[in-house]
Amino acid sequence: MSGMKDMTENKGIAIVGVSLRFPGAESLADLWRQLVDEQCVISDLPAARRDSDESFSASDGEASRIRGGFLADADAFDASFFGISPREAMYMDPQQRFALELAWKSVEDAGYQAAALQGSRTGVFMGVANTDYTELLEKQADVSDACVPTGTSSAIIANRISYWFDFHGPSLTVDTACASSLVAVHQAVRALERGDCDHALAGGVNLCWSGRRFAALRRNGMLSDNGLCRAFDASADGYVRAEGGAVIMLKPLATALADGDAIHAVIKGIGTNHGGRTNSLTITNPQAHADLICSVYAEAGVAASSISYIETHGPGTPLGDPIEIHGLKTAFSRLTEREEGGTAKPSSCGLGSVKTNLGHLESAAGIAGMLKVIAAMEHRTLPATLHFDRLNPLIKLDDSPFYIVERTQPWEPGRGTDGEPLPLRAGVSSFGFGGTNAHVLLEAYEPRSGSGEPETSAPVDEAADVLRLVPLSAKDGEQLRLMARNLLNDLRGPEGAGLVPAGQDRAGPGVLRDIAYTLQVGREAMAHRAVFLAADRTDLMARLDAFVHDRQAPDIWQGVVGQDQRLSLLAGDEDATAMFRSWIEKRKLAKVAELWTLGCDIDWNLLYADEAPRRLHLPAYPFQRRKHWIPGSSAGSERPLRSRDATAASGERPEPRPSGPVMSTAVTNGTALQPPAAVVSASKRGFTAEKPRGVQLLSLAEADGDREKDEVRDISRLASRGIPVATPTRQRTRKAAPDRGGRAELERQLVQSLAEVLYMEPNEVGVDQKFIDVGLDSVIAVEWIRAVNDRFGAALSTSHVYDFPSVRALAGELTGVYDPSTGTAVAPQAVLLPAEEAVRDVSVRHPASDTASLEAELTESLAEALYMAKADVAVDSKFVDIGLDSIIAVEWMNTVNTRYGTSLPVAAVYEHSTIREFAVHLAQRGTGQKSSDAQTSDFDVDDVLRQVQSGHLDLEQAERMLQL
Amino acid sequence: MHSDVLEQRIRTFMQEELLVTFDDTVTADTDLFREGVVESRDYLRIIKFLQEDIGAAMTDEDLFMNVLVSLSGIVDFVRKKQVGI
Repeated sequence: MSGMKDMTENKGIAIVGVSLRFPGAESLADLWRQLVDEQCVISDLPAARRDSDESFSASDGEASRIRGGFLADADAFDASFFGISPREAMYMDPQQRFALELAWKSVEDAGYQAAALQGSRTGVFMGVANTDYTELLEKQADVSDACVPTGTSSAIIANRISYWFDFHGPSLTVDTACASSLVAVHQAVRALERGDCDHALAGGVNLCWSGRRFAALRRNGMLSDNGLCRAFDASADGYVRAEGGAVIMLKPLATALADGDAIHAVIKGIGTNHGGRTNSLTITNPQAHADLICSVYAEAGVAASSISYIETHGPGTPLGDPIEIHGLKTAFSRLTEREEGGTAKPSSCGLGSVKTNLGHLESAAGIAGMLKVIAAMEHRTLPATLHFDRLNPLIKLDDSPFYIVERTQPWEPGRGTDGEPLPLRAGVSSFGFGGTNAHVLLEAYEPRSGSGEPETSAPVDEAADVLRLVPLSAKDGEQLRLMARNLLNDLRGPEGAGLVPAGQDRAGPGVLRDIAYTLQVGREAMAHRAVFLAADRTDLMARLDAFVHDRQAPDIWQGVVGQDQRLSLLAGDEDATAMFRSWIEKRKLAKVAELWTLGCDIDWNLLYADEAPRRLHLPAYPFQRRKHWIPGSSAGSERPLRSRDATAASGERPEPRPSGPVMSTAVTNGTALQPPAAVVSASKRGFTAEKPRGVQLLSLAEADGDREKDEVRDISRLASRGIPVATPTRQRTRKAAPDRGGRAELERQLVQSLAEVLYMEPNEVGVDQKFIDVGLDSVIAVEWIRAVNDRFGAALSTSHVYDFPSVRALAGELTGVYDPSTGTAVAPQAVLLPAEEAVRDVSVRHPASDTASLEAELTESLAEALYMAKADVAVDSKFVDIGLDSIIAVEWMNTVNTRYGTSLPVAAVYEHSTIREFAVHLAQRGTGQKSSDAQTSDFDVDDVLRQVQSGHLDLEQAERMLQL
Repeated sequence: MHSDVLEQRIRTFMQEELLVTFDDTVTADTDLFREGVVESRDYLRIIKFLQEDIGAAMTDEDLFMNVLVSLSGIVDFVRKKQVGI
């Protein structure tokens, strides 16, 4: 009987991991602090954005009127962490990037290694509605870049997560406007219930960058003029936009309990419907709200009277708020009529809106409401709804169980018919402006005693003195230090009362064991490692504090994996493995620590033979905030938006300067960072280095469509690097059979190459137009003059563009110096060399036999193709790990084949997957010779042995052939 | 109240109090909220006018289940109410 009860009580979907990125908050703890501090994070449009979109200035002073909840670094992304090239990153909708980082953090918050879920039936369900970045790209950039189709696709928001993590469950992006994220959660819950997947990531992401969209929403009267969300208040005058995102990790409650997961809260019911035909598309239908709420609660078997809080949609619109409350009242009165007692207790159910703190996160609004409720449940506190003064006169709360949560207060649970307190229960509503409604019923997770669940595994005999190893690792040293600092802050706990979650008591017994366990088995092991030996929490905090402040302290081991190649001696050796195992079992922890920091895999579970440790929610990876934005669109630039060199446009030239438009201001919490080292070249690599294993599957046709354009750009890039490849004029050159040395032809070619470096069409550059007027600034001038010099064998300096400020003037100077009629001029011939000949000429200069210089050249051209700094491309990095996907591979292989006169297939990058391997392969192809190794491999060993057996070969011959 | 008179009173209210100008683009059938002619915060004024000046009794159902967005919609609504009375 009690088993039956357990089964019904274990119904539901557990929320085991959460991650969020809201204005001013990067974690649930940050969000909670904002809520209990009653902060409103609405601000003016960040100054840096004002010049980033012309529609801010164009729309009649719109910029100065805009208020919203803005992310401080919405343009930043840790591309190298995910093995994504800067080039691809800058064409990726930031909403894709938010989602990818949030997915990682959500998995970590659940206490899982990403690798542990690799290949699993994990579903991904993401809500999105805005397409601001696509709009900006169309206005400001070369939208035919090969990375644009995937970079701007909403589908890819979910699909890229599934691809990157190698998840095999359903993967879809949902757009139901502002209801998107809650509908995404609904889809996830249904998929889990149906068994379509075993785990799910669900959430929503939202970027508000386009000035046009602000203007349009203001025009139709939706936005608040005073820039505050005053939900339910008489002076509410519209909503305030906000950006960010959140992702939660879900699995059936029963599975979560069996897996020993830390559970944030439980989804007891969820539903979605549409209001049908109302008098206006954007007017919601309270009858439909009421129907939805009734069906969700009825299906969950939960009495309306047991629900003590509703996180409303509550956008702060003068008509929307009253309609919503009317729907709630209708639902609750209908439900309570059927319940025992029949009447609702006044003021038994609080109403609030997180939009009064953060603004309206649109497609991520529903999930933001859920996270507020989750945090509130963990602290058993209802945070105040802000800016509420006088009730909207269209709202009547009499005869209802509702009250507005005007001040932060303890959250009193509802009581059952027997008077016993029930678990905290809350509903969360989210409505889309197209009529979609969604509602979810959440319940606090309260472990029940004697039910055979977590408590039994709790405080085993942890009377201290049991030493634990607490490992941390990151992609580089600075991130590692940040992680230590974040963990330390988490352990210290926030100051002030009511801030420590009831279920997350960091000081409780058993906590050190669970911290150690979670960080051992629930995090990827990356190259930069530190491990702390501690007997209790205080001990651990002291070690972390020392590490963070670079102080010497005992019982800390540090290492960077891959520094000592001699370790390979031990890798995979069975005696070594047996010894490691023995050390772990005998708890020789100092040795285990040392091994781990050197890069050895440790089977941490061996430490817990007699214990059942639990996973905890601990701080997730602190991603680098490296700016990746539309090429050439940087704010405040005088330069035309179409120019390609964002580095120059931002006025910051990184050293060494990558040839592509790399934005490289790396900042983490205000600290300037070095460019990330090529950590993936470490000999022992974690999940992030091994994934993605395959290549991004896009049809070649898609890539082909852009090939011509890309070739053009590649060639101009090569030209800029001092290699005299003809600019792409081949067809015309061939057709024209031109007048050698013709001044007009020279001008035409100058116009063409100038247009290319400026990302313009040749017909937009006039021969008499001043360079400065077409946007040639000093940085591009350097690049262009170098190309001109290489091309014509000239020795112009950059100052020539000032002395001879137009194409016509410069052409005059060129022909003056190199008059073809004198017969000494090489230039005019070079001018008219068909591209193929020029290429052949190049390949002659590159006999392609010296692999060291090949490696250097390949590194350089690959770095160009990926828009990376050369220093970040290590010869032993796997191509996939540094972001070479199938699209860029097509382009790079064209470059390589053009340059070396080869015809390698794109597949060569998979067969020879590092620069080092590829260079060897290319050298063999290039010289037409095979190395002795290659010859050896030509012999089939089995065949040789067969011949020996049959007496056709003697042993000596065979040995020679096999080079034994 | 004769419906022509009723329509004229409501039209006048909208013109004078809500500054709506009815013309070829903004007609009696125009969704005034969607077009941004009337903001949703003005709904309360419309309701008050209908209740206090026209004398149309309105329940919450009337207010929210069928949000009135056009002049003709309002006239129809009031006429039905009066018939109902």
